[in-house]
Amino acid sequence: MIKNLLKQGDVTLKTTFALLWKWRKYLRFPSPKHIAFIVLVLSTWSLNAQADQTVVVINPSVAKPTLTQVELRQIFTGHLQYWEDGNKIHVFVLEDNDPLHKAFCRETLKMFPYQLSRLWNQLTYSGQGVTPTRVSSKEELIERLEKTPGAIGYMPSGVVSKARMVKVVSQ
Amino acid sequence: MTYFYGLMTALWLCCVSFSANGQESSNLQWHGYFSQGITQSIDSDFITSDNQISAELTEIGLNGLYQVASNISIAGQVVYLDGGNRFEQGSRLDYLFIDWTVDDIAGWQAQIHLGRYKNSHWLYSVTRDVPQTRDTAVLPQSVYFDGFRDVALGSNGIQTRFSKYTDNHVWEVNWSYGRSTINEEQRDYLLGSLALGEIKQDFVHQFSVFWQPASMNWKLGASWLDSDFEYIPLEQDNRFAGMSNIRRFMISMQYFSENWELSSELLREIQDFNGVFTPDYYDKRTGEGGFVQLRYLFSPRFSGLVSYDSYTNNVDDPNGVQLELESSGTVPSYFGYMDTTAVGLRWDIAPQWRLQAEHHWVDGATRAVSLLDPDIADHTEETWRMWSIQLMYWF
Repeated sequence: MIKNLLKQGDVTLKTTFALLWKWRKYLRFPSPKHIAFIVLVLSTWSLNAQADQTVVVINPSVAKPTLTQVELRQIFTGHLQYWEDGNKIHVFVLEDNDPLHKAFCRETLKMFPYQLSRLWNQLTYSGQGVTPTRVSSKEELIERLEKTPGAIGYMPSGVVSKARMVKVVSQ
Repeated sequence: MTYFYGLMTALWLCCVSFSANGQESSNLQWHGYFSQGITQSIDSDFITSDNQISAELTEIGLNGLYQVASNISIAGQVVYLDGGNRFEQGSRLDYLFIDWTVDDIAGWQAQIHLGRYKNSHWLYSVTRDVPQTRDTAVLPQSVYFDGFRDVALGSNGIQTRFSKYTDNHVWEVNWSYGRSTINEEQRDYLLGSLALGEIKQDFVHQFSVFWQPASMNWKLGASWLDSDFEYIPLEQDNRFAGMSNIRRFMISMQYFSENWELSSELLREIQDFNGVFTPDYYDKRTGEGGFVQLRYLFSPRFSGLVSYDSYTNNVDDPNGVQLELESSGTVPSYFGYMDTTAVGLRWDIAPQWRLQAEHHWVDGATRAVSLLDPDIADHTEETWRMWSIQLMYWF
């Protein structure tokens, strides 16, 4: 079972807890072997998260070297629709199930994908704002970010692109 | 007013049809949804009559948002609804307003809506008719009473929304003032079919404030509503002139975790009633209730829900004993309260496609039908059930 989970690269916190519960009798008196195993499971989970590390990118037309965490959250929750120079912000995202989208939501926005989807649905169907454009693949996301003036989105770190990486600062 | 909004809607639909090449053009964004289900209420006529299984669970909507300038837009949505006996079947103008955004007033962003706006003061009110934004087809009736839905849903007037994002918090303050038109079907629902005159809502005044931490995984809020109604009888009428005032105070809570979410709203509403039944009739009641709802995500595409909803029509008569006595037995005591336990399942079959099922067990009937309906006891048993399966698509 553990091998399968590791193969899938999707050892979630829930699964970890399920395993811990199943083997709770060992955990009462953990031996160094068991501790090493738990550390391995948790570090695999952590490594898995690191593998999906994302960076925020913007179209080169946007003359903004940094974004604050507050600005980023305002943009992705539909509350900031225009850049400071007056150009419209176009937000591009992948589907909720995409690992890259999950990683971006969790690590950069500190939110859950379903939480964002709910927010966007509320905005869309109550006329309160414009929501991001969904794209179906990483390649399409990169293409749209490169070609759309005012675009913002995310990419896996290390991808070479014409879109520019932007640093997110706390204030 | 109806003709004005009809004309505005037609113009807006023309804009949507002719301006857009797809869901998005430079200034226009449009979206929609379609949902069809089957449903049944058992031992109650709340949704279907005579325990029939019915396909009267249809929701269709089309909306557009046209950006006139960077801080001004026009937004509108038309919907077609069929909810069985719960409310009037047909198409409605859901909202149509001008949105004026002011980006910075002392660090706050302001949005001002003029026209027909949606009630954004409760957790689910702003998208009450949008199936993919709801956890259940029938929302908790303590707060989202279907008998009063068209009035509680939105109003014609002004709504403002102020929001402030900081490193640690998100604040949202909403204020609205407007009124809704109450048609003959709603009048009959509220006052019984003996009433022939007109119910007019003088105003509805609402205020709410919400707080969220930066991660937005908590949402805590409080809202207040004050509304006056007037009954204007015809010359030959079975009812008399009268007035009613409703005040509602509510607290709301929502928590999002990775695999589960919890939401709850508690309310107290105070209603004064003058006239209508006799010229000097006076009644005052305080109703209380609320719901708590837990959704667990088994996977990103499959989730389950458990909820409990409770409402007492009059806190001084929680078991409805007085209600039965005062009506000489016409209205059974169980019309004084309503407790509902519900379970539900949701499966996101594909992006923008969802199948949702739910089952409700109900004890009591205070939110099931009008208290003034003479045939009230024939409609609902003390304990009854309802269920639905709904397939939905949105774009």
